[in-house]
Amino acid sequence: MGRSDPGVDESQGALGLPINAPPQQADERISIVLVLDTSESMGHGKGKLPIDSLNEALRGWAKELRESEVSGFGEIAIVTFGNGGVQLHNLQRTGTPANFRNAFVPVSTFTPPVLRASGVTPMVEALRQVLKLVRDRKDELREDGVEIRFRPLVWMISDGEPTNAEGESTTEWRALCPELRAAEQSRHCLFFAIGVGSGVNQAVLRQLAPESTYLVGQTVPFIEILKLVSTSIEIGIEGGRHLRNAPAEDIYRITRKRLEAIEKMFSAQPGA
Amino acid sequence: MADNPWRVVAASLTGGSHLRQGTECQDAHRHRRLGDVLLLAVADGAGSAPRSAEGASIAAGTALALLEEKLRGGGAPNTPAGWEALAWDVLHQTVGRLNQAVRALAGDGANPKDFATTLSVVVLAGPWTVYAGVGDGFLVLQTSDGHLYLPVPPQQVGEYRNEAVFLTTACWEEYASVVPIWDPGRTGVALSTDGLVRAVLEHRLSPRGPGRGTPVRTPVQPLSGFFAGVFRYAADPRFDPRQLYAEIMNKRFDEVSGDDRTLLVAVQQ
Repeated sequence: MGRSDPGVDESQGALGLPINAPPQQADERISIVLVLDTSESMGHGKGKLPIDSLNEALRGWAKELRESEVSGFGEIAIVTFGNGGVQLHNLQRTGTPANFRNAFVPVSTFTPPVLRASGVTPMVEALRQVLKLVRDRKDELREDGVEIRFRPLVWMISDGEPTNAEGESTTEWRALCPELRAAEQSRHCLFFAIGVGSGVNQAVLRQLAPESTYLVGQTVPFIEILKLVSTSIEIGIEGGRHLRNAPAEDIYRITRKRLEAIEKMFSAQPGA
Repeated sequence: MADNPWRVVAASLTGGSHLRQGTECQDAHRHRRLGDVLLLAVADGAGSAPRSAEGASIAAGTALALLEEKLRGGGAPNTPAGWEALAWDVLHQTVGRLNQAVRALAGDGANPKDFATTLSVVVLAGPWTVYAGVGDGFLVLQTSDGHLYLPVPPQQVGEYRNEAVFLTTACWEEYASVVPIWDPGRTGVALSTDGLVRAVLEHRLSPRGPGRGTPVRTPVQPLSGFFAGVFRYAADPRFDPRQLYAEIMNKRFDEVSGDDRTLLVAVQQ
């Protein structure tokens, strides 16, 4: 009648037909696992120690992530290898030992633990536990009725090479390669590896992650490395929405393409 | 055609997340009248395939042309087996022609996957509602007493809900479905692509099975308020069909799914 109808809400459709309510809480999820090297070598260096730089970068990155699109439906877990052996961190800080339930926190509440460096580099054991963690977590999410729309992203950052309990280099990682390839092919998860500095065993990383290893110089700030993780999250989300059935290699290829500019910046850095 | 009892309204639109990416709408819908028979098709081009909008359009158009050819040539079957044979034939030939079209459009080096699309077609002939499809389209029927049902739910194939099989998938036949339904009481038909699944179907949380990989949320029935309204409006000659577009363009839908959305509705008058 010439005046606006108070019953018409902009958010309602023209006909006002009911639809299922938009989800109050995210019922889709992208799981991110950081697998971080906290072995002895992360506690050595001139000037600021690598482990301190990593802690600082994690804090800054967590803040960025909390304010990003992924905040609404991302969750994150941290597994470290080095100090204290392989450690799954209870990011929910419930005071109990970490397990696949309390290891993940919503990105919106993610505050990283302060990491310390010591000991040897049980990288292989850490990755085994991560594969299991991801599997258990997916089962749990399914039970809760959460749609696992996106492949979990596993990012490892290391400055060394895998060792046994005595700190000697080991070839155990060879047995892990087929497990990782199978995880990729079955779309269980995506696995990325970053080697930092000159002490990293490039050959091992390239075997563990043939399509998705990134080597960066010692002087590249950790925050730049964590931005790679953010880029992969964006691609992971896009992938979940639009790259139906895409094989892992395609996602890695797209990630790599996106990262070319960043890599150029890395290659211009001295110290690698 | 005066003797065709069906009134058809339809809308396809680009979903919010495709808009953000600057992708065009990759859904297509078509319908064709053939005496008192009505043919419907919807197709959902894969978001990851660069020419999937063309694929969707070719698939929907080709399938309807083939159906028309066969129904004109041999008449409408009157047994489930007869309909099944006809529908499989149409799917096979549609895939063949889509591949030919891909070669014609993109040359010998053409990658059919660039044109990846789902396809759902429906024949409405007398008491028969015959569905043939590849991928995750779904079909809702309404009967004269107002009952709503979901004879063809969206297909869920993999661990992740967003996986789908396309006409260009090598093993498409394993995942294709052909469903002849005999229901003389059917008065309304809605055919849709997967973009509306979350918003307009009711889901049930499936109990956890003994093995891993049990699907979680299974769409079990049409959301009655939504479809009752859609069929009511679609049957009303005063209803402006553009309102259907306005309805599903609504941002509430984007909050539930950012995908392209297509709804093709036919009601018997």
